[in-house]
This record gives sequence, structure tokens and C-alpha cells, in this order.
Amino acid sequence: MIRTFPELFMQITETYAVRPAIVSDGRTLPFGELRERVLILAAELARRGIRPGTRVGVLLRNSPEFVIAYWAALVSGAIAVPLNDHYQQNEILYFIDECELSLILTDESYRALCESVLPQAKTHCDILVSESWDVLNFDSSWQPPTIDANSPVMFQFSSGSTGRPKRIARNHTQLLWELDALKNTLGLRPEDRFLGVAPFSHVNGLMRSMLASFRAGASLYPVAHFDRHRVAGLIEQEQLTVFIAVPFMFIVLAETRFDPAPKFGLRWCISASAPLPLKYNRLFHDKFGIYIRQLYGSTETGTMSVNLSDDITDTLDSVGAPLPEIEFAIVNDNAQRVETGMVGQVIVSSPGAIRGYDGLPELNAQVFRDGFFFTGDLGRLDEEGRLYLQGRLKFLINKSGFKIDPREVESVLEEHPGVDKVAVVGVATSYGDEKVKAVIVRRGPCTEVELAEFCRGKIADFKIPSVFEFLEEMPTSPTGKIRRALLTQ
Amino acid sequence: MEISKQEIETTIKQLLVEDLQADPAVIAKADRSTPLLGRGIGLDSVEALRLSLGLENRFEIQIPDADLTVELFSSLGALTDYVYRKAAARKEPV
Repeated sequence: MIRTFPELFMQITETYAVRPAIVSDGRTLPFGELRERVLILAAELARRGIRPGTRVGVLLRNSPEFVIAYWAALVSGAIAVPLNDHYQQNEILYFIDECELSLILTDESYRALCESVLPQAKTHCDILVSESWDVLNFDSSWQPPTIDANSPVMFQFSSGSTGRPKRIARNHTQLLWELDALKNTLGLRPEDRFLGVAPFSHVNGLMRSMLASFRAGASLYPVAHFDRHRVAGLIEQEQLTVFIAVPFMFIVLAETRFDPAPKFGLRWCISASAPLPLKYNRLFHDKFGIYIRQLYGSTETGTMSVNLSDDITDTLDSVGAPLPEIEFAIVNDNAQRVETGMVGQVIVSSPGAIRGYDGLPELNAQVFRDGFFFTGDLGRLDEEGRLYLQGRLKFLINKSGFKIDPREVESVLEEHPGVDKVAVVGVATSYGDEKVKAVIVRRGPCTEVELAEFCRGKIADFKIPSVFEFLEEMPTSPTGKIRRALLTQ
Repeated sequence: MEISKQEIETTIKQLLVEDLQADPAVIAKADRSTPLLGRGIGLDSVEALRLSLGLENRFEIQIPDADLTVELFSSLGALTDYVYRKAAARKEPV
């Protein structure tokens, strides 16, 4: 029985040694060669002092190098920390300090960014760029260390509630359970060919494309940038079978004028991280002959459900029934279960879920209760146990699948001398995405252009407000809380 | 019938308001020199791609992804001129 990720790595790369693991830019890397390259890098990491429990960052775009770096970190026993490649200096520094990173695996394009922050880090952290890996020699005497199955595989972060991302440490048992559940539920097999276009630094692309394809012994086609013509061409020419991404990518493909329309041979199109509006799902089906299935997951729980219903045309807006061993319930404000069909907060019990956030006991007491995680999402269940999401309780902004904590953006804007009060909210767009909007009460002169520029470089570009509204005073409730719902117009 | 640059500019403004929920007051004041990204209308990369999809469908043109550059969205005039050229090329006899 496979208990840890290094064990999974050794078994899969042996079983499927001659099958293609990664296909990129016309080059094929079989599992056997992936094994060798990962072991070479893992041995180098060990030589540099990486031991079980050491934290290693991965700052790379979707590429064969990301896959090699991520696996080398795990095989060396380290805890992997995937870093979003949109991050700016402050954010990189935050994650180095928060995770106590000893090393960042990256490439030349991020060297300057990393080197500009490393001297400010609280602990010593090095970088190792992928351009130097090719000259490393294979050390056949090196063996992967033994790892505790209850130790963390990686650190991921979830936005919301605290103004700073919350650290989530899922362990080997939990993540292996999720990968098995995905493989079995979707019937994944070695003949599958996965498009890897959702960012591997985010839970969706990492678990459901990069690692799910690996678990099945299938092939992964990593794509660093979403270029709609290139992506459509790749799906058609390579006859890819599994395409798991975010709504934005499906919407763009549905709306793009292709001449002629490419012919897809996809088995599964799965959208996660944000709701997919029905009209785009129908448009996608009209153009490419396949409906997009909606999947529901969170960083805290992993994948919870996916709508694989046979009657998909009647249930397009559902995220489906829970995976085996997972339980959904809908509760009211008093945490009592409501009747079937009623809307309330979605709570979930899952073998793949964490039991709490690191170092946040008060928050944990609120959202991890009686074996359930309180998701903060609103939804209802139908008679067949399928879940329909209906918005959320938490004031998180969902920008193309990236969750943004308004508090983080507010804390940057509050530093501007012209700002007295600020509230940041998400404004729904007609295509199911959200824009970041900042509502400002001025203390002194400031314009929207100045404020947007003030944010640049301090937070990732996708977090910077694109809409500003200036008010004389902030609308508040009788208890003094900002009435955010009034600001989202 | 030939499409004029004025019609294209009007359509871009219409898409900005209707599809991208841009502030109608800001759009009304925009002229050819108004930047579409960052400092001007404030589009981000996702919105810029959405705008180009709207233009492709409205004018029956194809915009290669390689053309979706910062320069293309550097001003309302730059985007108008680009769409004008694409639409004109479409009308040329084969």
C-alpha cells in the first residue's frame, strides 16, 4: 500500500517507466526519465541540507521544470510550497518568512525578483535555478528518506478572515486519498492526455491536472500561458482527453471565433474555482460538442464533488454529489441542518480535509466543528444529493479563480496618505467573474490613478482594484460594521 | 458597407459599458488618447481579452493572441485603428 508521496513517485515511475509522463514543445519525457531527473535533483537538495520537514518553495510557470522541482522537493522529504508567479516582492518575502523557506526552486526569469528579497528574509534562504539542473550528476547511492504519512506534503494558503493568507498543511494520507478519489471517480487511466493550463501553483491545477495525471500514469501537456488559439490547437492536434481548468478559460474558448472550429476529442471538461454561467456552458457545448462539468473544492478540503450526472442538461448549474466518503450538509445560522432544498451554509466532512489551520485556534473553533468544515459558501441540496452553490457568506473576491481577501488590499490602500477609510469588494461581471472595487473616503487629495499606482508592486496585479468609488462617508450598520453589500453595485 | 473608425470607437465604448461594466461617465469622456489599461479605463488582462472577444464577434474578425499586447490597448485610438485594419482586410477580395 502506498502511504506517502515519495512511495507513490517511485511506484508510478517504475510501473509506467516507458509511457509518456510529460509532453512539452514536441519533447516527450517518459516516466522513467522523469524519475531519473527528479532523483538527481532530490539528491542535490539533500546534499544542500534539505531534510524531511525542510520547506522548499517552487516558483515556476507550468512546465516540465515545475513538475521536476515539485517532485524533487517531495522525494527529498521537504515540504513543498508552490508560489504564485504573479507575486510581487512583498508577497514572496511574506511566504519565505511565513514558511521558513530554506530554498526556492525557480528559473532565470525569477532570479532578480528572488535575489531582491532574500537579504530581507528572517531566515537564510537560497535559490536554485532550473538552468543549473542539467549539469548535475546522478548519485546512485542516494536513497529517499523515510517519511511519516501524517506529516505535511505541502503548505498552501487560503484567503479570508484574517487579512493575511491562512496556512494549510494537508498531509500525505489526506492528499493521497484525494488523488485516489479523483482517479476512481473520473475513471482516469494511463491512456489519458491532460491539458495542464490551470496554474500548478494553485490547488486546482496542481491536484487536478499535474498530480491527478501522474497518479493515473497518464500524460501531462503543461502550458505556461493561456493562449486560446494555441490551447485549442493543442487539444485538437494531440487529441487531449482531460481538460480541467477555470471558468474564464472555458468562456474565452466558447466565445472565440475559430475558423474552422477545432474538433475536440475530450472525455472530460471540468471547471473549478468559480461558478461557470450556464449560457457559456451551452455555447461551449454548441461549439465543441461537450458540456463542462462543474467541480467543487477548497484548499482546506480538496475536491468535494463533481457533477458527472447523466442528466447533465438538466443539472448544468450543479457541482454534483459528494465523492465517496464525503458528506455534505446545509445548515442555518445556528448550525442546525435545514430541510432538503433550503438554502444555507455548506458544511463538509471529508477524509481529505485538514482538521484546522496552523496557529489560529479561535478561527478553528468557528469553522472546524464536529468533524465538519464550515465552508462559508451558501448552497442547497436536491433530492439526489446534488449540490447547487448560491453565493457565499464570506466576503472573498473571486478573480478568475484566484481568491482575494479584501482585507489584504484594504491594508495596502490604508497606507496612502489621502485615504481615510477604505472598503474593498467584489463586483459581479456579466461573464461570471468579479472585478476588484475599492470604495474610498478621502482624508486628502487622491485619484483612482494614484491609488492604483500606489498598489502596484505591493500586491499581485490581479488584486489591484480596477474600479474606484469615492464617498463622503462609509455606509455602516448600527453596530458599526461596513455594509459591504451596498458597495457592490 | 465600409465600417468607419467612428463606428468602431462607438462599439468599443459600448462593449466597455455593457460587457465590462465600465463606468459610463468615464467612458463618455474617453477619447482616442485614453489608455485602456491601468491608468486610463483600468482594464486588466482578463478584461482586455474579453473586450477583444467582443470585437471579434461584432466585426467578424480574428485577433491572433500574439497581437494582444500592451501596445494594442495603449489607447482607445490604437485599438480602433487595429480593428479598422482587420475589418478592412476581411473585406478585400480573395
